[in-house]
Amino acid sequence: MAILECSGLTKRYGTRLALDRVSLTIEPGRIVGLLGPNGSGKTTFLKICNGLLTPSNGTVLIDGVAPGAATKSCVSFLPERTYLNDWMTVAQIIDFFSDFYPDFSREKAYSMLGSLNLSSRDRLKTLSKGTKEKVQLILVMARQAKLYLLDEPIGGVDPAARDYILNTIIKNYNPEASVVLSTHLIADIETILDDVIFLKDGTVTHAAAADELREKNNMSIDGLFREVFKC
Amino acid sequence: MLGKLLKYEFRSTGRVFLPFYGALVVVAIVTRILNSVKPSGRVGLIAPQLIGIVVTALMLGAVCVIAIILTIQRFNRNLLGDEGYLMFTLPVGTDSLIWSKLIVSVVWFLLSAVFGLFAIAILTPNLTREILKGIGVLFRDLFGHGAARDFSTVIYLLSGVLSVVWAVLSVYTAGSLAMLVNRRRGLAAFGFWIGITTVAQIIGTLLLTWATHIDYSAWWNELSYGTREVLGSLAVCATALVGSAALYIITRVMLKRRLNLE
Repeated sequence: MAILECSGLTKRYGTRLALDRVSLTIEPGRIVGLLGPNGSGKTTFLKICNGLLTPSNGTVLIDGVAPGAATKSCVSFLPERTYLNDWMTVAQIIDFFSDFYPDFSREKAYSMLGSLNLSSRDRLKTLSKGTKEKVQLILVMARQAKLYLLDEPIGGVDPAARDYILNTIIKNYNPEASVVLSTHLIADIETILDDVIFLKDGTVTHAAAADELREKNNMSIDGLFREVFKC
Repeated sequence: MLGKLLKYEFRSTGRVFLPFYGALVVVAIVTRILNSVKPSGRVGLIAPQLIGIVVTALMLGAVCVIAIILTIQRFNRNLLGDEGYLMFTLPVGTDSLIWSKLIVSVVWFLLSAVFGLFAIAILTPNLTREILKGIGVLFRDLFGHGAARDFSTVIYLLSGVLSVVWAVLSVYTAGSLAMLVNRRRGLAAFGFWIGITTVAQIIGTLLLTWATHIDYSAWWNELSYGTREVLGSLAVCATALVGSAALYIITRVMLKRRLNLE
């Protein structure tokens, strides 16, 4: 069964169409790049999959179920913004995740904190935006979820941390789990992608295996992206 | 999961309220000590006494203001703002999210009233004993007049708590209805709140007018005094309960079916 399936997904903000009849299927065990320029509908799509936005039309199923309390226990979502409670310390937010998500691994979280030289005693309020993003990514990746939905996971961090994040995603690979990465920094993630989805003005223009797209167009995904989204 | 949500909600709000309650009690005690010192012609001692009374009065007002602001802020920031991205991706139901906020807000409102009264009791010399005596008299007056009267007193007290619940839910409903608007949601929430309270007042007035114009004297006069008391209290409680339930349902539908985080 597909881990994520959507059909005719449409979202309007007033008169503006953010998603236009998007139909997709994501199978388990795939790393999928959700690629498109700013305003193409990537964030809207991920928010709908997490139940944070109500679609105007269409349906989404996560592991065969509509987004709700049940799907949230198997989806690990990294939003593009900072959502942490500022008054907590890093250790307290780890306790928070551990309390609510049965699949959260404290050992994994502390190990990743150590690798990135972050202290669990630091108050989140005192951390820089980039460091907060790293903490968020650690929290999201320390879960043993069936589906990881990562919205711009490498957009706000330095190149060294970017490599670490991509390595973490690969290391966490599990044949049962899928990762959907939304970004416009294609060159950095191209090598790890199994499948690619191009979103343009809320519609899917390409959805295929990365190798298939490279062969068919005789160019890299980054090159194809530049061609499709040429200004 | 509701228990876990309550734990974090109390922890988050308690770090504001508890130090404030502590400060309120300390200021009240210091003021009382200053008040107990006889000025004996030294004008200089009157100033600290006055300052103490003014500061305590300001803090009493501030406790109420903080309770209101935190009720609005916790709902808007923690559920409808950036933190909502975390709260709505937790594997918990919408009901648990609303109940955790509601229970904690109501508890802080009631505790603020208790600490406010406590500070006044400390501040006013010789009044503490009188107040405690007064509470004893109040309970004696309220209870001990037969089962029916005692029951209706409990129902009236419950209605008082329900009116706090209604007030908190009116803020939640206004905030969640503002998700229907794409811009200036804060302003829209305030507009919705004005609308909700206006509609509630109109419905209340219509109900009262209707109740006073019905000729139910025939069966009402046949009822015993106790039964009338019980029916009266139940009608007040039922009105508060129905009003609160209506607001809860609207908030729930908005958060479950119309969630639109910016």
